[in-house]
Amino acid sequence: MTLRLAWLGPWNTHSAIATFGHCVVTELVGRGHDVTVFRSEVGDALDFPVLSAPGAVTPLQEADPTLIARNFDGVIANIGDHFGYHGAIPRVMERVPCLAIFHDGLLANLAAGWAHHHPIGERWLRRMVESLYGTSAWPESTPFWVDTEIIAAHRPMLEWLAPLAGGVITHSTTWEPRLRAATSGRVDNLPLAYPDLDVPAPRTIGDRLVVATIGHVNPNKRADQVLSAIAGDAALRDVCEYRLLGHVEDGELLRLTGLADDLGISRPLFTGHLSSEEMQNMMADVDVISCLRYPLLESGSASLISAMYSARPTLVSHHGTYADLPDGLVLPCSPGREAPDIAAHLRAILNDPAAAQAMGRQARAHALEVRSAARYVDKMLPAVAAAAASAPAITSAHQLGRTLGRFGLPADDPAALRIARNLSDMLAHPPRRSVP
Amino acid sequence: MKILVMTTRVPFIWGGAEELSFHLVKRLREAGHEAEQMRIPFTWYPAERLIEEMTISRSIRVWNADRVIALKFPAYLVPHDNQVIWLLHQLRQAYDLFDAGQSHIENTSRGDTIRAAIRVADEQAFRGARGLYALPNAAERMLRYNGIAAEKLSQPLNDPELFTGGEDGGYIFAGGRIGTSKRQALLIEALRHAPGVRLVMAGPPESAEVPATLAALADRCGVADRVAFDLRLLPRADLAALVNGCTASAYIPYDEDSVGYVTLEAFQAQKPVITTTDSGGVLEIVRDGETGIVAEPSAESLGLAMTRLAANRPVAARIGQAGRALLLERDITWPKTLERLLS
Repeated sequence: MTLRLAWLGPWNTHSAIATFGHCVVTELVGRGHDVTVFRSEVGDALDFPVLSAPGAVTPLQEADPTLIARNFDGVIANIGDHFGYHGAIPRVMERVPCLAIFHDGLLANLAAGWAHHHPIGERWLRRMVESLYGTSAWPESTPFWVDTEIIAAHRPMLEWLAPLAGGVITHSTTWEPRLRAATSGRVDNLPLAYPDLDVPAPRTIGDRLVVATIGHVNPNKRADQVLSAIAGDAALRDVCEYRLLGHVEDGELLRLTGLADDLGISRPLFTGHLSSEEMQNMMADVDVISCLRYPLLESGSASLISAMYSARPTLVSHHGTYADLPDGLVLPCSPGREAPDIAAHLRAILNDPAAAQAMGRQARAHALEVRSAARYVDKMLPAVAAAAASAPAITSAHQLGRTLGRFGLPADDPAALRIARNLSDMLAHPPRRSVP
Repeated sequence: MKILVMTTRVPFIWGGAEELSFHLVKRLREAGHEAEQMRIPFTWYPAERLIEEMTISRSIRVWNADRVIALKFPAYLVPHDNQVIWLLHQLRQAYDLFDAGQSHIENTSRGDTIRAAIRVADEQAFRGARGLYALPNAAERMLRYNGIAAEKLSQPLNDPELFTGGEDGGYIFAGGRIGTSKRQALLIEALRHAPGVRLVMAGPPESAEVPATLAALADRCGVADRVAFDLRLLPRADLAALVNGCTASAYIPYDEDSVGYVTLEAFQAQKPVITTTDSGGVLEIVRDGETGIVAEPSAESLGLAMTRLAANRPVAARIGQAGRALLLERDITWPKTLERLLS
């Protein structure tokens, strides 16, 4: 049966989530479904170069949610933390129970961006934090933005959007329990799909190593741990070169170059943002990929999949989606104190490069089998159907919840629970749809 | 305009509010508008269910109406962009009746939650209405409890042409909805203190038990031979005939929101009205010795009042004429009322 699907998400060449979306939409269209892409970017991000699309592409911020709900068999929303890429989605999710793919679990940036554009501004953010996590989650007279670890622990804002979803897809076990607790719809944990970008095959490892971190450079990617590992081992100091292939903020660049200077090692190479072609060229010389993350903010990792496709040995922080991998495919490091493990792994690679490269080839084979768009769509389509089936109940529940909320009643008020039970009884067995 | 008059429906209950709603629709049609009445089923007990009742109203969507005129709780919670509220009744059990200890909402934290939700919902509706009007006592209560000012708009008499007055038939007439809230039982007790006075009681009973209860009371008081009951929804002409032929009308509700149709009909027919000091809105136009008798809410005081008028027919007639004059002076008519509601 041909489905009319609405795909909500970023659709620009800078976004890994857009690249994911492109390969999934292509697979859906290839199976005969009619997919309309609604770009979820806002502001300057709308000017970024746009990916090609097999069908219509339209800005989500101009779309009428009522028409989206009415005109499509399924609505899939790609949730990420970048407000510029995902800022048009919350407005729609408030009206349309989507199948929500949570690419990130920490949504503080998205929420802060949303608050900035909300009629009551930061007051909305504080009210939302207090209603979700209690008054102690954000003490009065303190800024919203503090250490990422604190935000992730106390006010990740995942529970702002998760309850609005008709169904959820996550890409790791990390945020799965919270999503199950927050969502009344079905929750599926699927391996993230990502296209093989045809990175040049790895060269034969000799007596020098080029280690690279790919993508937007920020403290979460633990570049300082890589520098510390190299600096802390005499065998590595002279033979390891570290490259950061992606956009870097001035502050982070200064921090890392200062650290390298303090450690007495060569400064890392910063390339800034690279086009696809430039990235391909740079990757030809990369021997080891660093895919470290701490704290864990995302659900799945496109960078990890790309690294596995590249057949290069890959360093990971051993938690979340990285720990979900079968043993022997990547190089695990202790989350939060990766440096000693990094050093050990790099030494091992230099000692036995063949074994390391064999691991890389196994990782690529695994990714080709498990991370394909075809396999993802096989598992996603039942989730789309389930979310669509639950949409009437969820829409009604949300409307009633808003009504009761406007009366000043909390979600656990006895009247709210009675109404929820009645609704559940009424909508427990939706009528079967006739198949054309 | 397409105008929807929204009010509530309690099965088998018909009183002044229902009369007003019915006549509002009739008058709107006579003025050339398309008008319909929408009566939302409403049960006010148990108190815990009030949240559901409000949610039901709040969830209703009205299509194809240019204007909504909402009259009662919770009907005025139905959202509409062009809503006018003419408040006949809030849920007084959440407000003054609660303070008076006469509410079915318990004085507990749960009761506080329910009352707070009602207050929030009321204030949202009042502030969101395009126009806000209220019967005078209801307006004063709204200001006192909700801090919101409504324009006072009294109800006009629905069919003044029927109440022509006439020969004094030698009885006190007790009309309106018959039951506990209007306290007609007290009039039966009062007959013990009004020797020779006859009482005619006519109107729809509040419940099936009312006729038997009142008949038994009359027996116990030893006045059954002086009380005539006709407890049903009378045709308007029959009701008017009873009003036109009485010596005086007796209307003694507790803290009524409005002056009451019983009062207006009596004044139109040039008959004095007996009421009590705690009857609320009735006292707006019933003034002791001028347009009626205001007694204490006791059988003895009411008995005296009935005797005073029954024994002085010229005095009763004079007071009745003064009541009619006051009605004319107030000049509350349906055309003027519609003008306000449709402005």
